[in-house]
Amino acid sequence: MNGKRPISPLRTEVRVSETGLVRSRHYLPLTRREFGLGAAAAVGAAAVGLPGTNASAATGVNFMGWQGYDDGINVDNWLEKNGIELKPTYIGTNEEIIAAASAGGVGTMDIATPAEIYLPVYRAAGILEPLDLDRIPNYAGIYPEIKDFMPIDEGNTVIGLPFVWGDVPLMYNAEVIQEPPDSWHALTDERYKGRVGMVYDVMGIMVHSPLAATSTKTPTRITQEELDQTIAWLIKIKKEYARTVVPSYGELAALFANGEVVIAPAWTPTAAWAGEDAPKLDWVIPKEGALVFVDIFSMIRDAPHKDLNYKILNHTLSPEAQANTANLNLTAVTVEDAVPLLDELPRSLYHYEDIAGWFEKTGGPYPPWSTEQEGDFLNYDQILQGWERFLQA
Amino acid sequence: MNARATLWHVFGWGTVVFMLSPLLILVLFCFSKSSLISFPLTGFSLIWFETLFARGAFWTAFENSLTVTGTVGVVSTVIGTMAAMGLSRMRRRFASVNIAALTLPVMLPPLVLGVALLTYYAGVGMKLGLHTVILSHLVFTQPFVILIVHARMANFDYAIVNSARDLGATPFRAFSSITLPIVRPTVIGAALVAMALSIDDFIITIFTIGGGNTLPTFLWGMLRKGVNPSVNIVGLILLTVTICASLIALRLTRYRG
Amino acid sequence: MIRLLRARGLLVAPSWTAFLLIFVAPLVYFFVVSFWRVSAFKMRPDASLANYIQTVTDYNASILFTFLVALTIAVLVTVVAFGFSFYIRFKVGRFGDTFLFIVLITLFGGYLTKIYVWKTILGENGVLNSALLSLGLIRDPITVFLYNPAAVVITLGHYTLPLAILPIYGALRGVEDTPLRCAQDLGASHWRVVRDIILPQCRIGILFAFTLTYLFAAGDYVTPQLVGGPYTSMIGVLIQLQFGFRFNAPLGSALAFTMIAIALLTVGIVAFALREWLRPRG
Repeated sequence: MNGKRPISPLRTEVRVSETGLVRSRHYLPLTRREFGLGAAAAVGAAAVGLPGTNASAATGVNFMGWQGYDDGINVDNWLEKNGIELKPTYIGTNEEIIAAASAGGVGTMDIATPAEIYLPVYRAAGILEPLDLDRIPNYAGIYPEIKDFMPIDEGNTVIGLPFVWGDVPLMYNAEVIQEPPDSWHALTDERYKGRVGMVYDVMGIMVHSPLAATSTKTPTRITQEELDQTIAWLIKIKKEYARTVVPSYGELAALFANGEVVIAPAWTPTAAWAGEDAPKLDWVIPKEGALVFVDIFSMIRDAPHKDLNYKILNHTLSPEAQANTANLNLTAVTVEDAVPLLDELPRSLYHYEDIAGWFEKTGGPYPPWSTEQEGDFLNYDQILQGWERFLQA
Repeated sequence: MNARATLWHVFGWGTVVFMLSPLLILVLFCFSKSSLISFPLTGFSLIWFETLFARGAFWTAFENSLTVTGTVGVVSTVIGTMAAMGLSRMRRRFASVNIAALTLPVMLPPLVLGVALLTYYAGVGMKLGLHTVILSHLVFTQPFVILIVHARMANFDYAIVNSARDLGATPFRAFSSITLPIVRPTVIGAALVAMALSIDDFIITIFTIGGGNTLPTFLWGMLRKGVNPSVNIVGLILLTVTICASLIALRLTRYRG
Repeated sequence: MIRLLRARGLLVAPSWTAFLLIFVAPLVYFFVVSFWRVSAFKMRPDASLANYIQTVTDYNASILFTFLVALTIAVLVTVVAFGFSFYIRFKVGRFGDTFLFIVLITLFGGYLTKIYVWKTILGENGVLNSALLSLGLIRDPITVFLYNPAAVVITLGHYTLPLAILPIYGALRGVEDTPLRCAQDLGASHWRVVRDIILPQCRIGILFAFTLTYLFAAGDYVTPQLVGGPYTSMIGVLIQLQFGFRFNAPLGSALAFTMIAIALLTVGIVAFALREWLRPRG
């Protein structure tokens, strides 16, 4: 629903042709002729006013999440083989799930993929179902370093399974910038003035900007004064240093590719998306730290297909589904046994040999945003008010 | 040809080019081989059609669009035609006031209608789905049906209907064997306009659908990720459907301005 | 007689029911909500003007920017639509219908499609730049086409032009040729004829075209997001943000009704100005 900057890390529709990596997508085995019948049936149903008639034998499970995750878990047509017809609604922001769930989605929605940093917001909205880990044996395979970050609900229940992770480092054109920058302040370096890129990604920007603009080590816990400094810093970049601000990392990749932009905070796969003809792109974790996000699979409260949902949730942590998702989307896996199944490129993007060290270097994943004001620390809505100020400037 | 006339032609043709060239570009790049939407074209292929048609999500969105549009077309046409018939036999001034009121939804920015409906459905506890999309579409499609059919009824000769009634025909019989055959082309034309508006709607749909996709919301998901020729094809499908519907409608209703 | 009236009333009833239940009721409810407040993602009934106060204090820059952009679009589109309608009515003779037809074919569709095409045309690797490059007219891609307010004006202008041409052309068709010729025979200049005979007869059509375009442009939120780049702070985007991001329907409602109020005020002023300007002169 909102493209305002809607991009959080995982938009993916990975470029099939450009990287040559992702040919192995799995498609529903629907022939043209079958479709013709389906279309005729739909018109017939429409004519007599029967919305949403579903003749298929498979059970429809409503999935709301990032595009690409649905293809990822459908490794070897796993969904069809298990009699599941996944009905996806793709999101552009994490907030869309909350909006849909609270606008009557509870009771019809099954599975959603929020980012870990939003979990308290989801919890406050009361839309997540606590999970029974006995029914998710694959949970044991998750990297302990990642498991440690997962918020636990009161009552010691888990409300989401870490599915993929990734980071938003500082990316730069290595043909123009020979010496790797070591700080986010390279974005305000006079040498790159007018060639800085920015994406309307609230999660990415509102994590690395407080790290850069203030002395905080925990960018999700900031005071009003720190927020003001952060917004002032962002507005300065937008007004004085940025080439432009684009709605998605896909477009940022295009800007890198044609040399319009030489430096920008960017989700890691951006470099691969820029294509082979692009200038050489490199990236660093600045000394202040960077966003590490974890996208999770959750069940929506009162989901209509609980048993099937557990089956799917357990499957999302299987090495095959994990590796397939990472190969398709260039994201990182959360299950150690999936690493050997990875293609070369997705494996090379992340530091599987030392995840703990990598998390220490980036500083993340940071504690999730809070829905309540904690002492001087602002809550999530107050941080969004700052974000609106940045948009309006 | 004097300078003034030349200037007029430059302006007129310029406007036509401005209006049409984006649509031609849309069509052209559906058949491009490259994933980039730029000149020079490196070759033609149907690969982007294959890419798109191989996606299950596309067909689901297509099916949802057909369901919504078909239902909206039928319901909107029935209630809009009934209203137009009723209004055409009322006093002219009274009918105009009615029509002006019923046409208000067309003037409201779709965003405002969309968020108001979303808030309202949530407030009354109505679950979102294709049915809420269909309901929402009725409110901005029926004014067009009423306007088009009412315009036709303005010079309809009620004398024949009255004679049929005098000869003992029931109101329904008189309608189905006399009125309907005469106004049928107009009614079909109005239905097509309603369907064209419904299938193209994005803003109201995205706020009221809850989950799932129609073609425009599917297109929205694709184009936020940047551009490639598969997006052109979804756009082309939407445009083709709406243009064909409009063309037939213009012909049937002999609507000229 | 009474039976007849009842029958006519029954015929209109379904339309009115739909209108009241799916248009009037939602808007009334939505208006009431603008005086509520939100806590913990839930709406709480209240009777507070806080949302309107916040609208005026925090969002005035966006509101001003929105109406400048919308006004630019509406004025440009109305002028072009009048010029084009005038051209096909008086200047091209029998091809007029064909021209009109060409322009009107996309009247009922193509919203997202058109925005998307403009994005591909104006982009840095886009159709326009690559065409200019391969023709040798420029050496480096011009980056200023996309991601600025002008791109918003062009894209929305392209979408709303057919909507504006229709009512104006409809009005022009009603202008009869005879008085025009008489005026010209009596020595009136072209401009006098347009100003004193044609424009007054099209006043309602022009106002209608202006209103449609203006309201649509002021309320749009998709175009600025996709082609506006850093200049996205149009009020529609911020309204949408209250629903998609902050779950603050009350504030979103206050923003929306403020926008409508300002839009209606502007339209009222334009209607008054048009009427004064086009008052027949002695």
